Amino acid sequence: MTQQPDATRPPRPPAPPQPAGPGRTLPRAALPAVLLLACLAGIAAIMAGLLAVLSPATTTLEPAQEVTVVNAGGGGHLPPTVGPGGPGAPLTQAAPTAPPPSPAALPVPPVTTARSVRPVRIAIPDLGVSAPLMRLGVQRTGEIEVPPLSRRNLAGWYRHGPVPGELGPAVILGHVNNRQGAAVFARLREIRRGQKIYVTRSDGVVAEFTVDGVEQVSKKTFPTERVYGNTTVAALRLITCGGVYDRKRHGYSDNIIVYATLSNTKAA
Amino acid sequence: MRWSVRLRKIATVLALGAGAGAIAGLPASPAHAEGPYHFTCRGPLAPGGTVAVNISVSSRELAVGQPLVVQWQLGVQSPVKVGDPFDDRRLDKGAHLAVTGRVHATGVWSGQGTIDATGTQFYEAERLRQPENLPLGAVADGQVIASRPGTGALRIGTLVLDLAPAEAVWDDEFDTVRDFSVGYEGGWTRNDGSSWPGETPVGGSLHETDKEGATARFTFVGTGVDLIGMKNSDMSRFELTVDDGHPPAEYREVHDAYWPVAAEPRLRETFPVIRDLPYGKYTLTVKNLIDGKHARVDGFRVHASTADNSAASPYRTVCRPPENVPLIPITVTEGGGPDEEPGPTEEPTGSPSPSPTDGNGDGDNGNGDNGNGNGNGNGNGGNGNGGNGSSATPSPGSTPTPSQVLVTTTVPASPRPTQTVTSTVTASPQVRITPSGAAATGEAPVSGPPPGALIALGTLLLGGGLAGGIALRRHRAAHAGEGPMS
Repeated sequence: MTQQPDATRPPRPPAPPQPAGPGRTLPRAALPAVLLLACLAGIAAIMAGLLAVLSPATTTLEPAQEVTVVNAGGGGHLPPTVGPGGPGAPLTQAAPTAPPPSPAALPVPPVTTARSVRPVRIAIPDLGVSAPLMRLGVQRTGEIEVPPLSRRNLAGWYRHGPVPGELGPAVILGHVNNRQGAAVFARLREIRRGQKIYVTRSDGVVAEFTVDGVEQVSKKTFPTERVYGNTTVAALRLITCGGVYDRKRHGYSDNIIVYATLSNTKAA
Repeated sequence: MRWSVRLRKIATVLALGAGAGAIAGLPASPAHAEGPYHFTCRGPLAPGGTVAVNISVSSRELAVGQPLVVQWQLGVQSPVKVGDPFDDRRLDKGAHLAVTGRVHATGVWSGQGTIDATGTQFYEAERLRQPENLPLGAVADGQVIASRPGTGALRIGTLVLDLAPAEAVWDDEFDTVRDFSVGYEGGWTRNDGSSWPGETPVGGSLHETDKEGATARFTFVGTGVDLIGMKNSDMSRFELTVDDGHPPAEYREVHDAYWPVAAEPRLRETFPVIRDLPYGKYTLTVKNLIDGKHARVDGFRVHASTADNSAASPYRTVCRPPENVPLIPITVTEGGGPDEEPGPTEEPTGSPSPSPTDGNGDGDNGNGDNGNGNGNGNGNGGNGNGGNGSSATPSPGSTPTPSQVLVTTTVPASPRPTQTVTSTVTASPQVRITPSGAAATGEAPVSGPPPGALIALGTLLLGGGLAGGIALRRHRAAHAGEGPMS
């Protein structure tokens, strides 16, 4: 009741003239709300920033699965062999001295390969992968080159190693993602022992590889010998990134490595 | 001055492994010695010289799974001469001496039918110009997979020597020598540089063109190259390309040779092109891009950080065995070795070889570059033989199929003992350059604002909000005070 008299009061004298400005056009009642919103937005922004700073691993590629970075030198309880991959089989890192996984299919002899032969395409039907291949070398730092991040559906063959189908470990790299989203090897972590990989070469030969195993390794303890070491069969290694993204280092913590062996060849 | 190289005990170890991987220890000494054979050498590294070679084979009859050891002994009296080392300015920065000894395996094997023992050794210029023998450090290479038991033979092939200077300057014009050549297309002329003050061109002249699209091609063997040209006010953009004959090109870049001070042309200007290529044969192409503007080629600087015999250096020397060298028969029978797990991967011995060698066909009248089985013709047929052992689960690691026979060769460096390879794994890397570390194959999927900016923005908003709130309260309080009075 006591509020009513306002309506009955005589109208106030017009407010003293105020300098016209854009801010003054805001209804006076809305100002506290705007200030409150600014405070809340500020708090949210600070929280988001702090989260980004305090948690270097802001992006995890795999579903909830603990990835333990084992780099303590001892390597204590690492499994002695590379796992088969697939559902229910965690992609743990094998012991540093573990050999490549045993062939899942009977290996066939390597293909006679002229020097000019190059791999031109890779296909993994089970993962929906079909991508052209470029050639990769090494950077001045000694690290392996990678395909340009701008091309999502492009993989690269390491040209200082064997051609797929040739004796030895042929190496093919692909990105797991780029800023736009999933890249050519985004689903590589789903691959499992026994699945097929097809590499088409410039001489028309299609080399069929059978997956022997897959592992997720910390980049700090990359198994160079297991990946690049000599083999007695025509082998293939697929490499992409895994683990969590470290914004400070601008890279993922792990690599996914697929081991495969030549199991058949045919003309394209 | 006589030069000699002492190629000490190049041992070729042929280790035969069965599917179960059974590998016995290597015998301490070969059982059958062959030779000595006097190889006839032709080339600048061995003028009129012969190389005495002894070949030893551990056994001519063996079961699948037993090792076969073939040992090369190259005579110490083998003279090697590096032209006239004091006049050869290309040796000023030292050079890599590369050797390949080739054995052809026929009859039993499929796949690559040649077994190359290769070695590379770097020598400083001072050492190259000393009269003492050059001891050759060497590493192993070569492998062959046999698909079945049977009768085969080893045929001794050629010995190839090459010398790759670490850094050598080639003039803009020279006669083709081995895999080195130069050619010009599209209207190039020679210029002796007499109209320019100061420095003179390399070799007294250079090639120049002012035609758009005119190209110069320099083919070389090495691991890198620079262009020696010049900069001047009448010059402009040109394109440099390096390729190995197969696309894509290793290098493609546009350079600008414009130099604004017309009175001070810069001769002998180096345009760095590319380094750290795998050792091999490449072509550098210079292409003028602007019609009416000059491009000039004065010379080329070739770099070699290693060497092998996959391409022919100007010093290519080929030593052939005498015609009466008999085949060395090898019989491989079924069954054989103890059924035990292969050991872990053997460490490669010696320093890594840069690439598999081909012998480059120069006088190597055996099968071609990659062997292709020496006409045994069974191709993949040997795979069928694997059926009898398909029940044997391949053991972890390096496991050939049960019917496959792996042949490994090794050539230890001279100060090292021989017979060091005891597993089925080859002694030289199949991956010629092993990258260091992991692969960076991904990036942050979302590129949000940097955390610092977020915090700063948040602080600004929060501070502004609070300050505004306080100001508003004060303002209202002030007005509240005025209210009753009005």
